[in-house]
Amino acid sequence: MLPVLNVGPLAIQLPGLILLAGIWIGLNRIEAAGRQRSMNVERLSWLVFYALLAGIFGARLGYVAQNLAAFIPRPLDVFSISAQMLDAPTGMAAMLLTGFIYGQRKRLDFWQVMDALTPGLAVILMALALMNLSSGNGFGVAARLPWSIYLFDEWRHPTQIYDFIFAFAIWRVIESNPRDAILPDGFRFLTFVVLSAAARITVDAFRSENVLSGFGGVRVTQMIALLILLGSLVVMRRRRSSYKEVEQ
Amino acid sequence: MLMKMHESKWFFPLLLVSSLLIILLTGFFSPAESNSGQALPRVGFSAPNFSLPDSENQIVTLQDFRGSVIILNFWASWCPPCRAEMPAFQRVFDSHKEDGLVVIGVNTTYQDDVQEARQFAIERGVQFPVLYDLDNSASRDYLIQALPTTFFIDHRGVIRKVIYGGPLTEVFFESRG
Repeated sequence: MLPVLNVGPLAIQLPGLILLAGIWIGLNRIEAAGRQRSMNVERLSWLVFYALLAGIFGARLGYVAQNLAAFIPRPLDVFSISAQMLDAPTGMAAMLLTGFIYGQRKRLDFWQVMDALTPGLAVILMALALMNLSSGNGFGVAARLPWSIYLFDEWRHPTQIYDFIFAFAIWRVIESNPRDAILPDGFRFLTFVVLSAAARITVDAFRSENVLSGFGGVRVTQMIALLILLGSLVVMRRRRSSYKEVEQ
Repeated sequence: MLMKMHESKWFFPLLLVSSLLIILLTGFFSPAESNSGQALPRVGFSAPNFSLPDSENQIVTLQDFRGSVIILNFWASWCPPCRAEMPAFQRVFDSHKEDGLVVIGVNTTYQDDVQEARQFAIERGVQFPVLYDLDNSASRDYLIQALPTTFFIDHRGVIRKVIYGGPLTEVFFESRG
């Protein structure tokens, strides 16, 4: 595991670099998917840009709001460059809300946008797996198998590699066939969500550091993934029925 | 492939059933593993113990501070972010030492100069214990690969957060409670 590369006085965090590369490649895939679907690529790019920007600002504002007492005596620290002072859930909410509002204002079809974003999300999923592999996060439970990796004083399930294999397979499915364009809008995205949730349920069975749900070794993330999987299947079924009605 | 999945009547029901099955199997057969007994420089593990000399050559052991919340900072006098964040550590120490907060600075002396490190600590008015890792033993146990690196250790000796790089600000410490 190599979390940080020291190049002279600079400490370069390899996981961060991998994530940045993933986002950059993902953005390219999103533009390509938009073009393939004859969407307005410029609007799609702006949507992603505004959403990412709002995500960063939202994450910092969320952090400040939660720790207001600490910031009142030093208000300028709100602007300090520190990746530590971010609140991920608020950032995510700000990102989704901004993307949604921008999409509504520019009259972009929600499901078409989600379909165009899907290849990018699939690439980012692969980057996250590699990021965890480089930092050691998301490590597996102890197990002595021919493919175990030695990490933190133990032979363990290489859960980060399992994650990458699943993410790669999902990406291949998502980008598999131009004929898929005849699928109803939103199906590419919903399939991605369903497959990712199933992968989460499978890999988290071997992950060590997640919070347990109280039912043996079942992780909370597995239960959440199951709910997401079920919800996505229901939405998919509804969209399929309404699509068939429109076709008839 | 995507199309085939959707054309198949079985794919999604099968995926759902296998997911449920995996959860059941995990529930019955997977151990509810806990990391806190093992000493490793990772979140959720016990902080590795060490014994190092301070500026008066007295040996200080991390274990002695068990029961207190500890901020453990690895630094060097030539490292700009380490220098920049030292006053914030001192202010946090001043504000919370009465509450039982312990701040320990571990100088990575094997790649620094003892005299310069001591001089730097004096110049900055550092009051918290500064220990000198002369033989790289503590830095090796804590897998130090970048400076500064800061560990937040709870009163049970379990690492709660690790931060690679800096400089950390006072407001960050305050917000961590």
